[in-house]
Amino acid sequence: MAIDKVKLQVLADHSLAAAESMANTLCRTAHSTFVKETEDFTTGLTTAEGETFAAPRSLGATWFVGLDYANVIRMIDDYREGDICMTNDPYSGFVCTHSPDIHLWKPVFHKGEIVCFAVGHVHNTDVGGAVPASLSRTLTEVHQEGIRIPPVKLFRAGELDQQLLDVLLTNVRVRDQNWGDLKALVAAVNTGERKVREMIAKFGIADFRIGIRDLLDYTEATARSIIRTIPNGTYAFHDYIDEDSPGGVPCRLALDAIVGDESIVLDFRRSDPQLSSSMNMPTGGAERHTLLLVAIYHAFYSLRPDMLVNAGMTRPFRCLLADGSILNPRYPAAVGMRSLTAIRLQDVVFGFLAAAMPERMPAAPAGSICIMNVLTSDPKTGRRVMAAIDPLVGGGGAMPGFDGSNGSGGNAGFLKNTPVEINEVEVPIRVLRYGLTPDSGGAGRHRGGLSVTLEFQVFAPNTVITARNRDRTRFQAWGTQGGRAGAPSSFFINRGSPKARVLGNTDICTVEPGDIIEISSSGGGGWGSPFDRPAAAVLADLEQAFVTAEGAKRDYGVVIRDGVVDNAASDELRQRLRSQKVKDHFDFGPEREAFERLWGGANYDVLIERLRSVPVEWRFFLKRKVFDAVAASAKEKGDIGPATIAAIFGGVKREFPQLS
Amino acid sequence: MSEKRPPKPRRIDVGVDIGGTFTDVVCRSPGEPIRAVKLPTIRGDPSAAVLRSIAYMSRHWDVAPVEIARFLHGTTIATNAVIERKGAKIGLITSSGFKDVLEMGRGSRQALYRAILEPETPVFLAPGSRRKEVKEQVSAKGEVVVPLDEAEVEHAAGQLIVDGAEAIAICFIFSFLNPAHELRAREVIRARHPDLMVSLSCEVDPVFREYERTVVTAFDAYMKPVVERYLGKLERGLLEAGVGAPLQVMQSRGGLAGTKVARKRPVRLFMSGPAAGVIGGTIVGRMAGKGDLITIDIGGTSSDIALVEGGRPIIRPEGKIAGFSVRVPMVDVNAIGAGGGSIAWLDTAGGLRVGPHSAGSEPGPACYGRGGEEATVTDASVVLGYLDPDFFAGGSLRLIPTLAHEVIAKKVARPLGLAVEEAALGIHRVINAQMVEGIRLVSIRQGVDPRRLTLVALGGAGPLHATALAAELAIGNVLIPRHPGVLSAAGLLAAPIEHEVAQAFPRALGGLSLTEVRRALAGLDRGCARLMAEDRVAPQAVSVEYFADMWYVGQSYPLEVPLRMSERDPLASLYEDFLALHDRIYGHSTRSPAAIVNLRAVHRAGGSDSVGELGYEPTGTDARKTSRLIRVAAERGPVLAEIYDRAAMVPGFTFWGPAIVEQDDTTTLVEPDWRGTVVSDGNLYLERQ
Repeated sequence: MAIDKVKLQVLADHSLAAAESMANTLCRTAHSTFVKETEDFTTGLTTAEGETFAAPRSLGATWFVGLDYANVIRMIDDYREGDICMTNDPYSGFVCTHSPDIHLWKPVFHKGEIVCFAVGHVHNTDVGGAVPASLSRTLTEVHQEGIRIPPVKLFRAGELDQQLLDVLLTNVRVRDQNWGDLKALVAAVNTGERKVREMIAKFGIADFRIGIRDLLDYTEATARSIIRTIPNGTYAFHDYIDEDSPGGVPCRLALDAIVGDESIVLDFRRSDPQLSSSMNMPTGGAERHTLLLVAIYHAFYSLRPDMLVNAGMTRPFRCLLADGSILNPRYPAAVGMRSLTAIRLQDVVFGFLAAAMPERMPAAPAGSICIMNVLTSDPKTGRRVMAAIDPLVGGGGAMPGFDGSNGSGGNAGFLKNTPVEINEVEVPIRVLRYGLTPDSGGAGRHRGGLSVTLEFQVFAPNTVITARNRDRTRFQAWGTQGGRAGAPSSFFINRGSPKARVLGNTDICTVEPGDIIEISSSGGGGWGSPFDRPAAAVLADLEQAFVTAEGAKRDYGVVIRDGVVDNAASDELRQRLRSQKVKDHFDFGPEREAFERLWGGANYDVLIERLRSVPVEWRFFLKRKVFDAVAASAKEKGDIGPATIAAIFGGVKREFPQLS
Repeated sequence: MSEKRPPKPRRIDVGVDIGGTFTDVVCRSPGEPIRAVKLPTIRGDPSAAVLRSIAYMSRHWDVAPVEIARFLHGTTIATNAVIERKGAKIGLITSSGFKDVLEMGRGSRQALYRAILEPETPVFLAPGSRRKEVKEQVSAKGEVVVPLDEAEVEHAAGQLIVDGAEAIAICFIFSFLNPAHELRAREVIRARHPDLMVSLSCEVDPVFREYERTVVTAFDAYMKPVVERYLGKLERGLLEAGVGAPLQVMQSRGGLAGTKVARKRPVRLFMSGPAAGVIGGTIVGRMAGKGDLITIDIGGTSSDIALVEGGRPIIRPEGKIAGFSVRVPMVDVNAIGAGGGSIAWLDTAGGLRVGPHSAGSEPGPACYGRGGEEATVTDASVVLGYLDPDFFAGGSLRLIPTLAHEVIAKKVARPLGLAVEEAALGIHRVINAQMVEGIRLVSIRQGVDPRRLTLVALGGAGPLHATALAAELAIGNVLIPRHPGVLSAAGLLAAPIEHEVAQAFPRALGGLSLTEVRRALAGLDRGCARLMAEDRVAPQAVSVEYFADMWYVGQSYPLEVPLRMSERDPLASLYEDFLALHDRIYGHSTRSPAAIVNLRAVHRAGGSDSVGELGYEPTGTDARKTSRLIRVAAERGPVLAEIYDRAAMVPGFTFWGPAIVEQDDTTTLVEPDWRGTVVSDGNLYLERQ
């Protein structure tokens, strides 16, 4: 029996307020910059079975509203009032998806029965392991990614398990921060429990139990009503991660979406096999794992900003994943950098939606959410410091009707930057520049959002910079409706000096006293033809230093001299550019065009299909061999088709008779 | 007529609150009942509104302009200038490398899930072309690393002025630790452009976090010329009308300031209007002997909710202006988009929603008969029998009940398969739930259990929702002021003059010397004293309070803790108070090391405990007018409610709900189980049994 619609709306308001007040408690009392400033955390309430029915709408990370705690809830038996359970193991239930995320769940009892769970997670700056901050693409096994705590009780009937806590804190690099954040998370789930009790007192237990299920049904119904507005059909879209491992070859994430009347199948099986680096995304092969559907949350909420955000959004979807693939790896594959993959996967799902609804969807957001960490020491006191300094997020994709938001936006608006005036106090570095990058937004009738450039100097030897999730130095954020791709990202040390180093997608490096690090994120894609952008808007961009005079001419065909638009010259140039550069709906940038001349859709399909026929351990290894062989063969013969790829694969495989 | 009496030397206080639709005027002269009137606001010319109110007072109330001793003013000028983007054209000068801080903000979004969005930072204050960088660098310890390039300052200012800048804001990194570069930059600019207004971040908001400081400094520059012009016009209007009394303006914290100070600190006027309302509510509570209150001011489009503790409104360190966070202390008013004109609608999944869109006053609710085609909360109130169609706003607007019934039937009841009355009750339940969460947010944010509070209902629609909200929150006491509609203006009469000065003081509490704290506080006191002197307040009339913003070492969001220097060991008490407050607000605290972030001094003078010898005089007629059937949430069918005339209720008059109390400026719904008593000052006290 459903509760009435009026009561349901009232329950929805109260549930949202409960989740937000949990988030508020957490964020205001946390200790690490990453939690309290960047806000990488979640809070929520789930049903007794584990489905999230309430999540904050304005605080914390956006990736987990569809999270299903069922697997980990089942791994604990005998819940008591006052228990708080914990895990950070990516292979125990696939609730936690990389080791720095510590998840808690606390049962809320009513008369001896569990009615729901108050849940949440914080991303700890470090949980030990091979590298500071625990995450790097170079890692190959989950065991290198820090301590793993399987589902276990941190509090038993209100009593802290001090031994467990000591084990945890002994294994991490900055124990005070972890403990400070964990305390804040405990306070948050306790707040959640209190709020649930208030709701039960108000609605009565029977209505509360039914009501929280109704909230999920209700959001599901809204999601299905949105799907009804998407034209039925099959849509294919793919995008690439620049490298499948440090210095590696591209890694493809591919989607075939089948849109029905009220449901959608997302078939990801043409994506890369499991990697030997840490960019695997652990899902357990679940059909509706939250990390597969993040773009859906953003897109659907954008289409219906009044919708209630909860796990009901995931119900009309069915995802198909290949076993032993990047989106469904087998233990003990490393998974620390799954965020990079999750972000690119969002671009893929956005791409399918842009193909299905070109007039309603924005171009690609920057697609790179780089997290900067510095491990250094204070030159005067010798104090060792390890801290996240800033997330480097790129521009938002240009929208139908608006320019993309500068500096951040699209799917990346949940991470806050850290004030320079906090960074320099807590970390002995000096920030020289933190600003927008000219000419980085994808050109278009509506311009893509600009990327961000951060430049800073370090003062101690053996300073380690980690720039996690760096990508898109090669493949760019795509433009739509004739809009151009956004500028790629970049990473330099001592740019323009004799000691200069170009680091591309490198995510960890050691620097020396006096070195200057300069890092730029990628720009968002443009929307509509750049030659349709009014010259006055291009001039305004020039005045704001969003484009240079050179960029205005090259990308928009607008000639500006001494701050004035030369209309005659612009008209002529635009006419010429319009006739020679006919773009499809999507523009992916020159690097991808070049790559796909060799590794276009059909060729890559053959590779993936063949790789699936060999054991998991061999797939990544053979992929590299095939890439090398194809590169060599292309040099000799030029044109290569699917048949050649199949032949090359066969040849490579024959080198290893143990495989037959 | 016998011989003319010599004019009495009266000292009359006048409070004028200029709102978008009405200008509220309240007048208090010793020994006489307080008088109040609502006059239509004349758009675009505040001095005309002031002149009209003075003319009204002399014509109807026999108040001569020379008798006015204080002229107190609450204004929405600052907020409106932001909403309408009518501030000055300004330029922003920053440290090299940081001109985009204003645009990028904290990089995050309020609407997290939206992929399609507009800027959430106030870029309009200074778009890219009006942001200039100059070479200078100060370290995290306040040492100069790169000296200020004065030629660049001169060049940047010159360019900005050519571009039409009327004021310049300067915000350098770490200037709150070492203001030398900002001060010098101003000198350099002033040497060439002596009349240009310059706002320095080290003066406006000398606290860390460069984005937040840049925003408030840029707003300061943006507002300065506007506030200057506005106050100048008002003062000229007063002089023309023959008022020689000084003009004082309500600031966002709920204290008054003279115009000289207000001109210097324009960002402190953002909450001027709502702050006066909260002060009014506070005073009404004090008159009834209640110090812990929730005030809710329900208007047509929104509701302002505030918490009062121990007779003092809660102040928060930053607030929202037209959607932008601005770090300037203000009365903690939570404005939510729920009011009498809020529109009820059905979403695609068939759920009943109310607001945030409002029918406003034009066309207004359907029952106004002005072409409104949406079902509003007011229409629901008509259907439920709360509003007498012939006695709305004192009978000045005749409501059409059939239109209310039709619109609710069409928009809500039929699609949901409900009876019209059920649908109307549903609309009230949904809007009340939003208000209840708004109240919870302000109280629980402060760790205060709402059950022990008294609810003070203000605004035209407040008293209609008061008992329902109180019941939801398990609040047992409600106060309905005699004139809920003009309480903001009345609040002006009772507010103190107040000045506040803060300074960054980043020190761990452990080992901190009291002498150092004393020295810092003395500096703050001097700053406050200068401001008080400008308002011509005698030093002996001033009371002083200190506060410390504190956190655990490692945290990022401080709590404001009173610093009582009269204690035997002030710093030890400070630590204990911090622990208690942290526990109250966040539900946990440990004896871990804590630190001070900022110190603050607040100087106050004047203020009163009542809005005047109200001399409440009932009309003397029968208070009970009639009875009619109404619907309430707690009962299945209609209930018979007594209808009372507020103006006729004598002090001590007691009645039981279900009842409706009608008066010119509002209607009070008293639900079943509530008992009402009129107290001596004319305020109405409701208690749940």
